[in-house]
Amino acid sequence: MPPAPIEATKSLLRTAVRTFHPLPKTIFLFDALLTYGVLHVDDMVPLFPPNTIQPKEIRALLTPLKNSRLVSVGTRTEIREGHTRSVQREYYHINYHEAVDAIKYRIVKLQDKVQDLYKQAEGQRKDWSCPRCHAEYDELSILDKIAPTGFYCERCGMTLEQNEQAILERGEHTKIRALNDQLGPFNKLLAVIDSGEVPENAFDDAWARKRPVPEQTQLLGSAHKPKWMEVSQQRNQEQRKQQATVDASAVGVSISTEKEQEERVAAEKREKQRAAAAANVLPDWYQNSTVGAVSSAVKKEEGGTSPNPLAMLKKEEEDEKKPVLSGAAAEQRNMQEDLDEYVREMERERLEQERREAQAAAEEDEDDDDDDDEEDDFEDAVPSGVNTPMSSQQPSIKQEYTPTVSRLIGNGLKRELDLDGDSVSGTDTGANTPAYAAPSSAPDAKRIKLENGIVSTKLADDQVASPAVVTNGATPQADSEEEDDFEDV
Amino acid sequence: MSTERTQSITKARAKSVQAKERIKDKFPAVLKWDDVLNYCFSAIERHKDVLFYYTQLVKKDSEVTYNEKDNTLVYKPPYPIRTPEQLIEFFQANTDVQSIEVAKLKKGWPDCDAEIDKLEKEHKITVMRNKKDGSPRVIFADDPTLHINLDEEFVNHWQSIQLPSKDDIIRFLIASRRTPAGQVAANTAVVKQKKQARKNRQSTKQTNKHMHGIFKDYSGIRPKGK
Repeated sequence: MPPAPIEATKSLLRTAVRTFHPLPKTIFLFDALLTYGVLHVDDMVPLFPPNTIQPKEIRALLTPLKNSRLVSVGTRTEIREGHTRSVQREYYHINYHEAVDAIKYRIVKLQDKVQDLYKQAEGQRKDWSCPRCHAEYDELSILDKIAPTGFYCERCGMTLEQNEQAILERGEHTKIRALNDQLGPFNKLLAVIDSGEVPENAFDDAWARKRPVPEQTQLLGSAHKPKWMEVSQQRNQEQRKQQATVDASAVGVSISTEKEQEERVAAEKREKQRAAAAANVLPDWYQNSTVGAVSSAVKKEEGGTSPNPLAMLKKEEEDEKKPVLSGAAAEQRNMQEDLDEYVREMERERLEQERREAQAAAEEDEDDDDDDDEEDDFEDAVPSGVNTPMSSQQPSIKQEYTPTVSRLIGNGLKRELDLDGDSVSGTDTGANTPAYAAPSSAPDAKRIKLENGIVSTKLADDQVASPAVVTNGATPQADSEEEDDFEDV
Repeated sequence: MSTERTQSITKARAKSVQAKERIKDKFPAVLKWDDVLNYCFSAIERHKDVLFYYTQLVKKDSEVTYNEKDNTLVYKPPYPIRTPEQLIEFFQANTDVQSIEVAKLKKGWPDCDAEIDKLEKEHKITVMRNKKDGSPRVIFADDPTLHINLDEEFVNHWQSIQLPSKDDIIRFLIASRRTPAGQVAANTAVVKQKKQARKNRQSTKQTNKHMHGIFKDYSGIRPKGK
């Protein structure tokens, strides 16, 4: 079965890209555009593995495609979420008509060009010359002057020689055949395309038909991916302008029959009546006698409320029981929670690490280009100190104590935190063991106070970091006591 | 969280990393849980809490598959691909465009370089390479049916052809008797309209309706103007 025209169009375009723009990245980008319909450069970056490509490079790759009309650009006036100024954003898509026509045009021109080369060689040029008297002849005039060694010169009798140029171009007519053979697949596809209708896929069409790019499980950066909204008012104006200039063939008129009209009016009427009926309904006390109702209401109340307090009490008891449970189970659950928290922290560190490695690799690979875009990528990195589990657990305490808190690193070493806000991140632990900020570090800080009152109060006030020495075998003996102390702070 | 507990977790974490390394080394072999445990822990290290955390960490690890039924562990590479066929299938099974990082692919299929080169030559995949040593970096799907052999000379000619404006192209194509892409629909539409117009041509009032079906119908070849 021959493929549908639209499929043939896609095959043709993909073949054209592979033939005339054979870079792997270009091919991939074009396939992505065919799959998703409309893409902004920002949408294309995450299609590649992280840090393998920069937006600038994508634009550079798309420019030749744009010049070949294989890819078209549409703009939308959009506003970034949280910003006030609107921006013209460029979206790439494929206009099938433009792309196919451009290919057809080039095929015709290419065939003409090759044919011309052949014709020139074949024409009235004097391809034969005499090496002695330098007379020149064209092929027709010497055909009858044959000597045993070849054609001879009319003037001096010397054997003629064929010009180098003519020898070179002798193969031109085989070239035409070669070209037609090689373009065979193109011509086949074009025949299919011409046999049916292919939608133009202009920008508005393509936008309506576009397929969303799947959310990638990206590294930290994607969480901050800005959202863009279209500026609706301006768009409407544009549309109105377009409608005014649109050609008659594109105008559709929807005609509703009289019957449909009647039905709609009837339905509206019914709806109105129902609304009026609902509004005018008589109150309950008017329709039913209030004398009988009181007693029934009381009865209902008695039936309804009397068992409630008991049930409530029972529930409360159950609630109280729940957290107590058995000590072992609670312990198990606490351990599980601790672990989960730890794993979360670990995962974050791992992502950070991976990101940094990839970044380094990318820089190494691209170091001969000067990339200004890279700075943007750095901004995406979140200072990880902000989201530590510690902050979620004891937010108020954390704020006061972070500067003096010493971190417990995986291998059991204590490490002092930097004060320069930005550098307080998980980045300092390059090893696989993530830095773990234990909530117990707050008690640690407090313990300093006991041992060396003057210094630590100073710490709290000025927020100056000084080596907070805490012994590793920190005594967990008085957990509850310590917590009490905290509430005072 | 108490310091003691933190220490247990830290220790368990170190042990689980050790276990993962072991499992990764042995891939694609399937390892017994106890074997891995014995490899990582000496008898005196087996504290109850540490073991608990270790179990949780290893079982939940995204790079390790734990089989509950026979209590075994096996490494789980980022892509479940170990042969060229599986690679092609992976691309075909996805309706979204896919890019595969070779570094990740190698975790499960360390000696994939030769196969990648082969598939690239067959036009089944395209390969983005490192600038320095030409080693593959990212691979994408491709389709051998979409490749034609066009001589470089022709390609160069093609590139040198300048494209005029959109309307000029359409005009040129019509002049050289080819159909511009958008014109197919228009042409067929015109033809249809003409046919319809001819069908409903009944200018005079018919008086002999009762004789329909008796006479032959010559209305189709009626001379024009009557």
